[in-house]
Amino acid sequence: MTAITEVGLEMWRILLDSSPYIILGIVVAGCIKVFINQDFISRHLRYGRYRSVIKASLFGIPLPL
Amino acid sequence: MLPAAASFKKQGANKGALASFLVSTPESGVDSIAITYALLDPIMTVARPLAAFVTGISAGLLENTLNWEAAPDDDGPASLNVTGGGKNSVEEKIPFTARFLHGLRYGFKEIWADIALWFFVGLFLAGIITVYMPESLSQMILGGGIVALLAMLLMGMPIYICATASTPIAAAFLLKGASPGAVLVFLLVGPATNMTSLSVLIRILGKMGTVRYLSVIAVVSILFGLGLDGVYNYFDIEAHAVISEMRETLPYWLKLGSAIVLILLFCQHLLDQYRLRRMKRRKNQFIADFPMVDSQIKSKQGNRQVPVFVEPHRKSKGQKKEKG
Repeated sequence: MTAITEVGLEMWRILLDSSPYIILGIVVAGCIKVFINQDFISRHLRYGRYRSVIKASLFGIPLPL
Repeated sequence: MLPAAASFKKQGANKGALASFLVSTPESGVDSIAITYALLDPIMTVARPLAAFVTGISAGLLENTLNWEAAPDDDGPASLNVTGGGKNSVEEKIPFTARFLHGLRYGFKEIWADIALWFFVGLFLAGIITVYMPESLSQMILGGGIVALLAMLLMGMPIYICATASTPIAAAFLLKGASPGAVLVFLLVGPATNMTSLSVLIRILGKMGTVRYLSVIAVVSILFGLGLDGVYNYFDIEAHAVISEMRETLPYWLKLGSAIVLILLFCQHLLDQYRLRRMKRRKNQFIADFPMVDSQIKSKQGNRQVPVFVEPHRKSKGQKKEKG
């Protein structure tokens, strides 16, 4: 019983610490989704043997999931 | 992430760019960067997206160096411009605040719904690790050196855990004395590779492409793990001490408020799912009672609607092409 409450407490503690940052991340991610359209990205992934690779990796960093 | 990559492929993105995108997107995102800052330390917060960027580039460059098929130049750009221009003009009409609000709603509803369940699983595992995992064991296996990195690689490759959800687990490992390099390997490999996405990867990159993709991820992650351990040793920082320090930064009311908001949003999402499922079940029952009539009506409606809806669209496209 004590072990279970300990696990629960630890979960709660981590949740408290991360929640404000998760909300920040979600808000920014939502804005990225709305303000940058897929065609824009896809246009950049078409051209250039090496340039397109670097751009693809750069685009991928902020995008969630 | 995988559907986005599939649609990029349709629109003519090359394999290297796709591989690169498929590595760096799951390995890092604004949400996971924010939570890494919250639960781990600033070095880790920088190392994670940097490693994702380099891993992505390595995978993509290898792919495009070995087999390069240039995208067909003729028909591609024209069709792209038509769709792109159309979408842009539609989106420009929406005012900034409305779009911003839409983004907020998308973030809180869709993105959080995608992450939430995984995140709570991650929290649970983190709790289990902190309470049950004996420190001696984790220090012995994960304490440092190449063995720790390989152990994390073996553990992270087959499982799926999204970047945000893997962060609390990583924090728990660090608190138990795992080396920062080993934890970074877990953070990189966990989200980037898993059993279920294999078939999709093979379809997008091909068999050999997938093998190369996985080996590049493994090798670069291990190298970054070694490098990160080196950085911590050089500056003589103990990751685990920094983590305990990081935890006292924000006011309590903000933490509590955000936690409650996230939990309530998750409950609402579960409720929505439940309602949707119940509605679907009812619909199925209704169709089962009148199968012929219902499907006939639907197909007739479909047949009638299609030509009416499509024809003006086609005409307008044709006119555009003629003008151009």
